[in-house]
Amino acid sequence: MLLQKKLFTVFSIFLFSTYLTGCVRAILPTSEIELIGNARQVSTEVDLDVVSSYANLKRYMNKCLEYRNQNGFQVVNANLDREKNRADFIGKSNFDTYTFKVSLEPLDNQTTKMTYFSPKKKIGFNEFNPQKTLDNLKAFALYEGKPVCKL
Amino acid sequence: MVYKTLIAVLVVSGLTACSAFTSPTTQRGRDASLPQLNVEGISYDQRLVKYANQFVTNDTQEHAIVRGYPYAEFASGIFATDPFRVMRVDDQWVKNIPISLNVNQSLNAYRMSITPIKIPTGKHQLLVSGAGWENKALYTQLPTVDYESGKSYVFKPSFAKGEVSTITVYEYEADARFEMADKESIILKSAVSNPVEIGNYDNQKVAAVFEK
Repeated sequence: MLLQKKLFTVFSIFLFSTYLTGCVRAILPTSEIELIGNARQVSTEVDLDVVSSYANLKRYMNKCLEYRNQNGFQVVNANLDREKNRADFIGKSNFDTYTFKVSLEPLDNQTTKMTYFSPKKKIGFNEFNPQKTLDNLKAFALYEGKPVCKL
Repeated sequence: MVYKTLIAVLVVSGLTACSAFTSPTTQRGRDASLPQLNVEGISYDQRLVKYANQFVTNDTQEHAIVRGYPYAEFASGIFATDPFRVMRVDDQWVKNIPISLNVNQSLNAYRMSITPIKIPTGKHQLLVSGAGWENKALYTQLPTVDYESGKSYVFKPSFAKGEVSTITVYEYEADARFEMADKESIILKSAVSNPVEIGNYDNQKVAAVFEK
């Protein structure tokens, strides 16, 4: 009985410490290369130039996708290269994990190719429908106006 | 007994929360003594317009635009970094917007920093403040720059570890698709001044003018 109790304590301490040290690193990708390499990709065309759709998406992401609370955070790193006319957004979370990536490339002056990378988790369920997220992002890329989280 | 302790804790926490309601609504810190705009009966957006237009008498007058670079993410409390803003044009002091109930000291300074302020064209020497902590001012005297009509200028700091932090005046092009507080709304062109050390102007000299 006593031994069982001791075992239980040891086991719970072990579990708790793995939680603290970031078990999430075993679930989500831990580098951008890993994210892109294993991700499920979906892409679409947006009838707007790269910089404008980048500006619209940035406003949406800053308002709605970024959060910080006691349990963790998600920040979106936005990069725009005006010379190469390319942009991307990378979602980052606790313990240096990567949650998503959106890249914008020009097809011509008025059309942008938007690609959404949904990470493939090593443990647990993946995102159910990346196409739905992409459609949502496309709607926000075309939306110019007061930032809202729902269209 | 337990209930009594609980009630005591509740009362104490209730009393400490009261300080939130008794916080000062008047201007505090160093800004209290600086010149203020007369803003009676106008909204905050109108105040910003009045602040931006204080050096030009009418819309047709030739002017250049200067603003601060959004170098730090806006934070609050003791971690609030002091944003860069114009304090003096030659020997004329900028009139600041007084704080109000819904716009506190840090937010007010930040809004003034990212608001492009119109200055008459010609050669001017600006005194800017920024990069200090909440109640410690760092004043920087920028070199004399020929501000040309219809052009926009931004003063951008550069921070490097182990080196002297400097500030440089750049000409820029505004990108209206981004928000004013976003770095990407500023497309930097060429530098129009040499870098100067941040905090090269003694803040006691400012204090001597305004503190009674």
